[in-house]
Parts: sequence; structure tokens; C-alpha cells
Amino acid sequence: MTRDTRHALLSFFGTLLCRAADGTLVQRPIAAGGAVEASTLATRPVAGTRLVSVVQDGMLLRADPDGQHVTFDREVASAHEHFLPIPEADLTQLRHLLEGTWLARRADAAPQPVACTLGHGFELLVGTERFALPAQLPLSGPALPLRVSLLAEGWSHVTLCRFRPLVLYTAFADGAVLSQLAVSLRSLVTHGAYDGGILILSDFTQGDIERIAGTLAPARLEVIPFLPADKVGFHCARYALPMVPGAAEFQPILYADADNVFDLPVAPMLHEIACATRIMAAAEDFAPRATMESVGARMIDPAQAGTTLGFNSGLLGIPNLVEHADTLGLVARLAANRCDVFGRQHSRWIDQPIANYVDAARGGFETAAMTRRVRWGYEGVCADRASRRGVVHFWPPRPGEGKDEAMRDYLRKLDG
Amino acid sequence: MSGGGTLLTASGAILSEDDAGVFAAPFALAARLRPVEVPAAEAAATPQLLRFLGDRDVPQTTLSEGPLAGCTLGPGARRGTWALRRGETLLGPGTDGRLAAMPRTRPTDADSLLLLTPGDLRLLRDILDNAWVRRSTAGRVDEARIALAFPFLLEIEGARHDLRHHLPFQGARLPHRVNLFRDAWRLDELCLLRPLVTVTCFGEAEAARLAGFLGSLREAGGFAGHVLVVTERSPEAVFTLLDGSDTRDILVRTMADAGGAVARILARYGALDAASLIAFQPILMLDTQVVVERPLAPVLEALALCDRIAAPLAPKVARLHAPLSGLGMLQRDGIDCGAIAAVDPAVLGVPNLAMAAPALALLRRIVADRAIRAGDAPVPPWLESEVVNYVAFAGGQPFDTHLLTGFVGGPGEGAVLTRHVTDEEGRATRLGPRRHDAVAGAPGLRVEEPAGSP
Repeated sequence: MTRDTRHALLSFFGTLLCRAADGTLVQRPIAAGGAVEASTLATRPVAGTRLVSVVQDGMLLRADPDGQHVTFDREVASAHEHFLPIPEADLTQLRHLLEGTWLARRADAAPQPVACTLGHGFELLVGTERFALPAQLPLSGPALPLRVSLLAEGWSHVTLCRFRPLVLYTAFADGAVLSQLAVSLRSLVTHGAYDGGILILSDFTQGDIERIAGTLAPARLEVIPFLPADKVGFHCARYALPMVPGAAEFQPILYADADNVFDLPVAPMLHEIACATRIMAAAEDFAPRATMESVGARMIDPAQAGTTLGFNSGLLGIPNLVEHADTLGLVARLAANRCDVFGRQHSRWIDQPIANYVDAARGGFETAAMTRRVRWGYEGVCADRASRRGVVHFWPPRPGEGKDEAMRDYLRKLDG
Repeated sequence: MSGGGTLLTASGAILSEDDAGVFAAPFALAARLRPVEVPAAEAAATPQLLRFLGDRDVPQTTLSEGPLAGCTLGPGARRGTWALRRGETLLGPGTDGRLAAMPRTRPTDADSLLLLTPGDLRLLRDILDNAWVRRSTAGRVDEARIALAFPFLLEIEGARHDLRHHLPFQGARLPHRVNLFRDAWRLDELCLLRPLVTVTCFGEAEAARLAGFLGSLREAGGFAGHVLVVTERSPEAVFTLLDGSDTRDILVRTMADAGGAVARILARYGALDAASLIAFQPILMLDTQVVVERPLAPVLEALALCDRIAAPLAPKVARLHAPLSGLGMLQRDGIDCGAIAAVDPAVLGVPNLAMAAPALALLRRIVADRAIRAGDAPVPPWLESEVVNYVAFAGGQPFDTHLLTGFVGGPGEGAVLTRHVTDEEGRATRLGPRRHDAVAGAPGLRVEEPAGSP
């Protein structure tokens, strides 16, 4: 224990050593407050471990298996007399681990949602897998508190990724967009079986959106008023996500244009995004970066572009904002700078070529996984279950009401 | 006031105040003067992104405090700039630099101002006061080649960058890496070149080699930057060892409890925890078995641009047969290592600490846990190499094994860094860096244990 860090003491039974109102020592659940500061007690290290025993008048403190009582009544330390000093920051992160749903990212398996619990004997159970808690301290990871590195058997590296998804839409000004959003939302919660939160940046009111959201519970839907001046503002609103209060607590965040229809449960896709290290987007098989302006041909050196396909920015799987706000901010900054120099009408495609340029210059995006899950709605799309991949993006736009009708028609087929 | 914004003129001066009033002070002098502070509320006026999305220009703001109280800040000559007025009168730097009434109503560039947040001001100072490596050229840029120019330009080796397109500075890697937007949008990057070399020195054998190592670093390596010596000795004892050597910019980190092999490994990586070291980029970690034989600058400049921890390949360590390669750990994790060789932890390049922190923390946790599990039993001498190799390939972000490999060689190979090790009979031998001569089944290396270790 270092002197300058406050430590709590965790018992063999996964409880915290606390002080009751009358000053006596007790065990309490880890979620409770009031942990005793370890340095206020006399402790003795347990040789060859990170554990300690608590001593008073030559007697050792024993934690009772009832998870509540403790007594100074032992002369020899065995398991029940062992306590793990745990720094305050780690205790906070540990509580965080025990509260939510997590995904274990390993080199050799697809991520599955698991709950974390504390077992007896200072074990952290991740699903059914056991980790020695002392070996995990101090808890660290590439993007705390959303990603935590654990060591199985003291060395085998596993990253736990918090699963707290958010789906983000933007919808502005246009009645057709509202109608598309209605179809997309309904597909998301029915065929997509999505039961998490939905955030919409919009110049429509919460009431407008709730009216078209059908049976979707209003509590799951938050509309943040956003007032872009023009089409540039509409398209780039998604990059304002890092400025939305609380958005950084989510992992993953799926941004969807309103013209996406979900035709399979979205959970596997969300799990994949939550564990990804880069922003996921679907490659357009019809859009080479070297030649198509829509994916950055005017900005990217053709020699560098080679035969790479560009991606569509209408469906973005953002693992988290801790690691990726920077990339989103860079796209927004370049869009603003280019508009300043070339005018706000200089590009029909606005953000998408820039996102592709940022990827070509700096990386930060990946396309393989999302491409497998997306079909394009520019030609008739088959709705039978074997043909579905997860999402149909009704792109490119069709004249008049064509896109709305195509989306509604596809949803009818899914419902049928 | 604290945390207020600062006003930068188009020619790169800072509006400052003295007893005679407000004047435009040269940027380099502003730190020693009293810059006029615009209260935080004004400095934090509508965030740039929201302005862009809404296509709104800067709003007019009346200042309520300081020497400019009663003046208004409104749109300047160009988007993103401000103009200062008292009533209807436009104010700007006069010919003597003092703030004066301008003989016009519409602002020009000369009368316009940029609002710098405290963070922007600090970073702009850093940019102007340090050496950098520019990503587009991969070349060093000395501070003498960086200047502010009219109007609102940051000139880097003659290339002009409009500050309006850079403020507020944004980026997860600030202040070590700064985005540059040539022509407003072409991505470039400045990577800080304030290098640190660390060297571990435990026991008598390493102590005996320390002066020679430092001599090679300063003379053949031409390295004039800071050196951190990680040791069990006091700073005085280290300076005694180096008696007669140039000890300028030598930092000593005494790890008092580094009594065993594991403690020494933990000390090597734990020494990087010091908050003061976060200012450095890059960090080259060496040990006293390394001799610097040629200028180190190319190594450090390449490392400053790197995005991952770098380590040279150790081709004589055949992954299939040597425990120090971490193969067992990797295979048990289900990771396919193919035929690649292991890395040699004697030379490690850390581009910057913030980037490398998760991997370094993981490495220390694994080593510490192995030590606890071993109890009183000795840990294998290849523990550091085994764990570094595991983290290099399984730690989430693979190490860069290309960058340093070409710079490290054995005696007589003419490399920048010559690595001396001892073989199983204690003879000096080569730890070659060449990937093409990796030999499966070659004898494993013996990591030299410092004299006096238990």
C-alpha cells in the first residue's frame, strides 16, 4: 500500500470492511459507501500475496460468512482473515464493472455479453470465467472506464468492453426525412430487436418525433434540439456528438442516417462495434476512392487511393468517444475549413469525402465488418431471411418519394 | 482574472497592458508582460463547431473588466476573427504598437484579432519554442524555422498555415502532436522532438559500463538531451561514477527497493511513471549493454513520428524454441505468431508516454503477478523478454518491429546502436538485428544478470 493513496479493504466474501454508526467494524456490500480507510487499522501483510490481515490486541479480524459481521477472534490467519487492500480509484472501477453488461474481447472468440460478479476468495467472475482480483490491481485499460484489461491466470490478456449502446440519428427540416425516420425507428426496435437508448439531433420537437415513433417508449427516446443553418449543418451534425452531454458514457454508439432499415437483430453488430478499435463503416462496392468524388477522389492522392473502395458515412459504428472523438472532430474541422475557403456549396457530398480523406491520411476507420452487414437499397432488395444481412441503406437517393416508398415497401415485406 | 482569453494581432503580437495603456507586444515577450485578458465567458464564446454547423459568425460582446472595459468585440475582417471597438470607433495597433483609433469603420486584417484560449496560448508558445518533426517531410524542424507572420499565419519552414483554421487547437495527442492544415485542409502533423534516453544501471557490472555508455551517447550519438538513469544508487553515487564525464541534463531515479531481478524490471518501466517525464517525446529505453556508435538523431526523429511502442527484432531468438520469446504465452492465448522472430527488450522506443501507458501498465502487472506467484523461487532470467514479447504481440496494440530493427546491430555492423550480450559461456556475442538471418532452433540468449543480484 502506498501512503498517499486511500485504500478500502475487501473481505474474502467480496464485501467491504465498513464502520457501523456505533463505530464497530462490519461487512457491507461493495456497492455501499462508508468503507474503512485501511491506514486507520493495524494490518499485517500475508506473505507472498497482496493480501493483509487486520490485527488488534494480537487477534486477527475474521469476516463471517454471513457477509455482515466481523470479529477479532483468531490467532492464526486463514482465508476468512484475509483482506485485499483496494485503492479508491480501483474500487470505483470495480463497482462500475459489477453494475453493467460487459463484453470480453479475446483474440480467439467473438464477444459475448457477460455480467461481472465477485466470488469468494477474491475472485472476479466474468460470466463463468474466474480472474484473481489481486492480480488485476491497479485496474487499467486502454479507455477507462469503458475498457478494462484483465489478466487470466496472472498473464493472459483479456479486454472487457462495457456494453451500453446508444443509437444516434439526425433529422432536419424535411418532411421526407421524418417519414424515413419513422420507418427506420420501427425497423430498429422490431426487426432489430433493439431495446437501448436512442438519441436524435433534430430541429423537430420531441413531440414531432414521438408522434412518428409509434410504440417506442418515450423514455428511450431523447431529442436534442439542434438548429443547423443549411445542408452542410445537417450533414455534419453527427460530428457534434462529442459535444452532447453524457454521450461519452456510451459504448458503442451507432450513428444511422434515417434511410437505414434494420432487418436482423442489431445486437451482434453492436457487440462487434463495442469491441472494435476503429470506427466501423460500410464500403461502397461501387465507389473507388481513386475516382469517385463522393468518397474523396478530389482530396486523396490517386496513387495512395489505389484500388481501395470508399465508405459511406451514413452508418457509422463508433466504439466510444474516449478514443474516437478526435477522429470525428477532425472530420468536422476539415469540413469547416473547406467551407471557409471554398464556400458552403462547394461539395455535394459534404462530410463523406472528408471522412474518407481522414481515413486515407490518418486511419481510424475500418470497413470489413460493417460491409458484411449492409446491403444497398439502390436496386430491389430481397427481404427473405436468408438474404438479410442486418441493414439496408437506401442509398443513393431516389427522386421524389421514391426512397420513402422503397423503405416502406421493404418494411412491409419484413413485417409480412 | 484567470483563465481568460488572450488577443492575438494579425502580425502575431499579443495585446498587453502597462501603465500607459494597451499595446501590441511581440509574442516572444508577452509571457514577461501583462497580456490583456478577455474574461472566460467571452473566450468560450460559441464553440467553433457549433458556429460552423449553424453558419453563425462571432457574436458581438461587450467587455466589462480590465483595460478594455466598455469596448466591444465583434466580427473582424475574416471569419473567425474579432474587431475591437470603443463606441463606433474601430481600435487597432498604431504605428508605435499602442492601441489607437483607426481611421476607418470596416476592419482590415491589420485591425483584426484572434482570441486565444489559455490552452491555445500555451500550445502556440510550445510550437514556437521547441523542435519538432513534421510528418509530411519526416524531417526535423528547429524552432528557428517556425514563426508567426501576417496575417494570422504560422510559418513552418516557409509553409504557411492560417491560424484561423487551427484554433482552438484540438486533438487527443496535444501537446505532443499538433494537427496542421495546409491550404486549410491538407493534413499534416507536428510531432514534438524533446527526447529522453533512459538507461537502467543496477549492480556493479552495469555501473562499470555506465560512463562508457553515456560517453558513446554524447559523443558518437551526438545526443544533447536529457538522460534518465534508473538505478538503486543515489544521485550523488551516480555522479561519482560519472566523475569526469559531462553530467549536464542527467536525471537520476533511485529505485531503493530494486533488490532483485523482478524489482529491476519493474523499476525500468515504473521509472516512467514520474509526472515530469510526460513532457518528453520520444523516449528511448536502453541498457548499458548498448553502445551508441553513430548519430542518434535519425532514430529519435523516426520514433517521434511513430504511433506504437517500437522494439527491434531479435532474429537469433527463434520464436519456436526460445522461452524468452513469449511463445508459450501467446500460443496459450490462441494467437498465431507465424514465423516472426521475437523482439529484444534491451532497446525500446516509446513515442510518448500517454500513448504507451496501457501497454506499459499491462507489462508491469504481468511481471509483478509472476513474481508473486513465484514466491521465493527464482524467476527465469528471461522473464522480461518473455513478458515484453507477449505484450508486444497480444497487448491490444502490436509493437512496431520495423522502425528500430534497422538501427540496432551487433559489434562491427555499423549500426547506430550496437548491442553487446553474453552467450551461455559468458563471451561477448552479437544480437543481430537482421530479420533474414533468423535461425530456427538457435541457442537462446542468456540475459546477463547484474553482478550482486541474489
